[in-house]
Amino acid sequence: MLKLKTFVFGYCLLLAQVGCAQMDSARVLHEVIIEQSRLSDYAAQRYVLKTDSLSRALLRGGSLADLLRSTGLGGVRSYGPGGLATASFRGTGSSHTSILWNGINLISPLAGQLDLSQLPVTFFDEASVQTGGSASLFGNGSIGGTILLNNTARFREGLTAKAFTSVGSFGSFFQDAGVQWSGKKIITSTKVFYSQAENNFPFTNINVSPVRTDTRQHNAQRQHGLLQQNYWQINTQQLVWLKFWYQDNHYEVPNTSLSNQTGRATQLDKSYRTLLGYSWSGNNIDITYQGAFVHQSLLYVDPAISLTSTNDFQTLVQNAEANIDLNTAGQLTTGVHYTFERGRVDAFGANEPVRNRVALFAAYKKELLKNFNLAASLREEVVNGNATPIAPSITLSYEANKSITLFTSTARNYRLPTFNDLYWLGAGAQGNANLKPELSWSSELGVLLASASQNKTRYSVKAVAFSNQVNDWILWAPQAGQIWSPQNIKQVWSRGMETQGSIETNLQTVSVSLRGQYTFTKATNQAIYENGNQAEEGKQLMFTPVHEGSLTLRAGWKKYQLNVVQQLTGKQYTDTDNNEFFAMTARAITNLWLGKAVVGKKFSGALTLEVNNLFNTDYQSRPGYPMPGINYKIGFTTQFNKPYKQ
Amino acid sequence: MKHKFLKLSWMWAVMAALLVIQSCSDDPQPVIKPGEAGFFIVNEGGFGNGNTSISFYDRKLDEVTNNVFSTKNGRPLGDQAQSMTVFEGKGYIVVQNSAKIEVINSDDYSSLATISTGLPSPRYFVGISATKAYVSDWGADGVTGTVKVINLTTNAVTTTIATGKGANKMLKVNNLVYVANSGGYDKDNTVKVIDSNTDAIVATITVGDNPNSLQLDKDGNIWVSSSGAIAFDANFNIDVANSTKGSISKINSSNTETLRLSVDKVTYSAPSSLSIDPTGTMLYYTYDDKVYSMATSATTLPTTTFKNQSYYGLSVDLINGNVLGFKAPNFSSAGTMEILSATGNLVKTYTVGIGPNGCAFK
Repeated sequence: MLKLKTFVFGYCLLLAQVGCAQMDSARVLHEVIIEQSRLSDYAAQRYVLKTDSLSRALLRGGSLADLLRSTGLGGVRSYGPGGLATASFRGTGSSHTSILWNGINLISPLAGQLDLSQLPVTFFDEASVQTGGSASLFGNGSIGGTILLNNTARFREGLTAKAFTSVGSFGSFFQDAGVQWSGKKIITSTKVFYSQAENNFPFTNINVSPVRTDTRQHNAQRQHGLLQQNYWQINTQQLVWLKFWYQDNHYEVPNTSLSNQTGRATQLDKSYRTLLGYSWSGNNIDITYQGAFVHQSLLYVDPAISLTSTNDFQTLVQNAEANIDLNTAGQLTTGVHYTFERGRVDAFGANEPVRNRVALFAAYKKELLKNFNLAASLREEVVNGNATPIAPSITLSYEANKSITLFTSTARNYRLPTFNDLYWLGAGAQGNANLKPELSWSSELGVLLASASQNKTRYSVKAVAFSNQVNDWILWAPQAGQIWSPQNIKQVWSRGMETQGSIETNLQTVSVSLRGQYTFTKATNQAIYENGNQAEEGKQLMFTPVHEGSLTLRAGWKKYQLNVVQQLTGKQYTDTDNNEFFAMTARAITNLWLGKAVVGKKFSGALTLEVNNLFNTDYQSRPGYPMPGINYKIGFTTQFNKPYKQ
Repeated sequence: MKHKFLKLSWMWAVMAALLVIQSCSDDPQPVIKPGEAGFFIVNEGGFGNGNTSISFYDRKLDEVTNNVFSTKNGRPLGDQAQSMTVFEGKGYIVVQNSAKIEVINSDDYSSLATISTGLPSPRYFVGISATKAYVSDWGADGVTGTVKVINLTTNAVTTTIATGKGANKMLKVNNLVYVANSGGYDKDNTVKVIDSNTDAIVATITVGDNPNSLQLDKDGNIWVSSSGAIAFDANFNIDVANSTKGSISKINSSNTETLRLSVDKVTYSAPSSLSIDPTGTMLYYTYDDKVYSMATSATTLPTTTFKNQSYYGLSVDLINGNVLGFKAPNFSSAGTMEILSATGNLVKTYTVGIGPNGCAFK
């Protein structure tokens, strides 16, 4: 027992994460601040995939793209190291996943996307992915999934300082540092990070005869950022928080590896995100207000063609919600959400579009009968005075017994056209101001089997069948006169199965867990527009693998921790009529991580070794975007804590 | 020794006789002309997606085989093949966004060489002699148009001839090479004439804005299609007052423009893909999402369409005068080739690669 305790303690230190579950059980729990929206309470919790603290500790020097990949959730579309990475779940597009930071949607109103490589793991404490449509809860764009990034904090933790350094192959370097004071009524925390990578890895150049090994050129990236968070507990009922997140991302934009010209383009992304929150808790009601201001600018420069393009937007969000405990009658959350968006983009010409969006929402849940739960929600959004179609959802779940739960859910979801879709002006390409929102109906049916958590050997199995019909999907297509313009013309039916299984056990002093994940996704084009290619009907969407999965093995012994992740990506079509000739073959990539905790009295730390692409597989993330072979990172985490004294 | 020779020549005589008999059965001419075996189809693919390809239309089998380069050589062709030319038994595939030319054996498609230096943005190839070729190039900035002189023995760029913005299609007439300066990312209105013996520019002919393609007629005149130049207002609507219309120009053998016929409106779908029939008397071009035909004796533009159909690329079959229309419904899935008879009737449709833009006669 003592050995096990030592293991747990070392393990937790290794993580250097406050939110370690095992650690919680070993000491007095402090009050966790829940400041973000309560709406996620109404999501069909059984299909929420949470990244755990270990994964986040492993990838502290990485981005959300790395985290999603390592946890095997799939759904990351990437242009390789240093390139754009977007999320896509359940066969939907890259702009069908909304990303919320403490309840605030960060998706760009210009492109409808957010680059996952610009979300550093070190800047959030929790990440979860809810696959499936849930626009009734999370609003615009939650058609394929929703990613929730949260920061949590606790009072009375004292003074904590943390730092993490890593160096690795191809000029990679990462450094973060954070200091936090957590007192009785005040928490203030500041975190900074800097990262760089040359990404100048060798790759097989198949663009020449004879084929040769070349080095990827003009592919460097630099990022730095600051996250400042403050909490003030005014009294037992009232809490105020203020957060500020600044980030600067500088990329060299490489040409595809299919070009013999070295790229010269660069991209500079800067973002400023400020969040102010207030909550008041009564007996059966609590009220939360959050206001956020986001300014993001993108500057793309290609000196080769004398191109300078600026793409800026500002978003102002006001959200007020009341969470009411109706006792036996259930729980209700209702509120109002206001978003102001403004785009300043060279390609909009003199036009500086703004959008005023007001949404009313309500979510309700209740145990209807014993072990039979209902959750229902509704959202109605008005955009510039025009009502969008109402988005309802309903979830039913039944706990058949302690280890079996069944659930089903149906929702209607929407995504507003982006500013680029609406207002783009260019030679040969014109936005379409008459676009309607995209609409989807999504349904699912699932089962969860789990053993009791106190068992020595624990298992869980989850299987969810889903179906998602997206109509009025906005597609840029050539129009008469050879002008490309977006239209509400695409219809996609995506259906499939998400499965997960895990088993964990303790073998004397060794703890072992094995987790497998597999997703089957059939996402097909259901209707061909006028002058479209009939051969595309019924075909799988491009860059959407039918089969995707992962296997994760973890083992812990004394102060050592081993983590091996095998990612499996099935064949992907790279065109819309599924020509086998252009398909990317299936691949399996293995990443390994080894850590050793270093335990001191006030200081603690961990040494980590990360090996990516262990078997040196030669592959591309997409045609013309090669990926590095085997590569390494060595990291060192250190943490200092001076406990709070009354 | 003598005996053996006789025996061999006897065999040759029999084989030749057999060949003549066989040839006579479907084609009266024993000499193989360009295009007789068939032609290659250039499929641009989606820009940046690396799915450009070459198809081959086999005339005898009346069949298209797609992806002939990649199938034979086990590697992708690259990104955005703009054109292909068969010269001296070799296929020169100009892959613009890959900044290279792939040289293949035109019979078995095997890769012979890659010309991958000194060609920032190559467009078209024209063979000059067994050891020399010209390649037009837009330049990395899309405006510094040049003609690159290639040594076909070493497959290296030896000289660069500055021509004009967006150096595009070329036409070789005896020792002169006519280069249409299509404007690239800007605009131009000249056809430059290069003496291929000296690589010197010997004439500059002003035509309508942004000339893109050229053809030689039976009488030795050179016809040029020009896109015109589109100006935009602040909202990127076409500013008609400041735009110029597309046009068809005729240049005589003394390098003088003798006729310029402007189309009736300013539109994105400007006159292009100028092609000529095997007799050298009938021109075809695309304009306003339609196909027009025009006799070389005409002095005005046609008012009726040859085919009311939008094609991304257009060509004329050198052998039978059929019109080849290349359709690209989008640049993410396979396009088609439509063979039209000289009267404009659809003969047959073939599935080709992504974004087909033209062909190269073998």
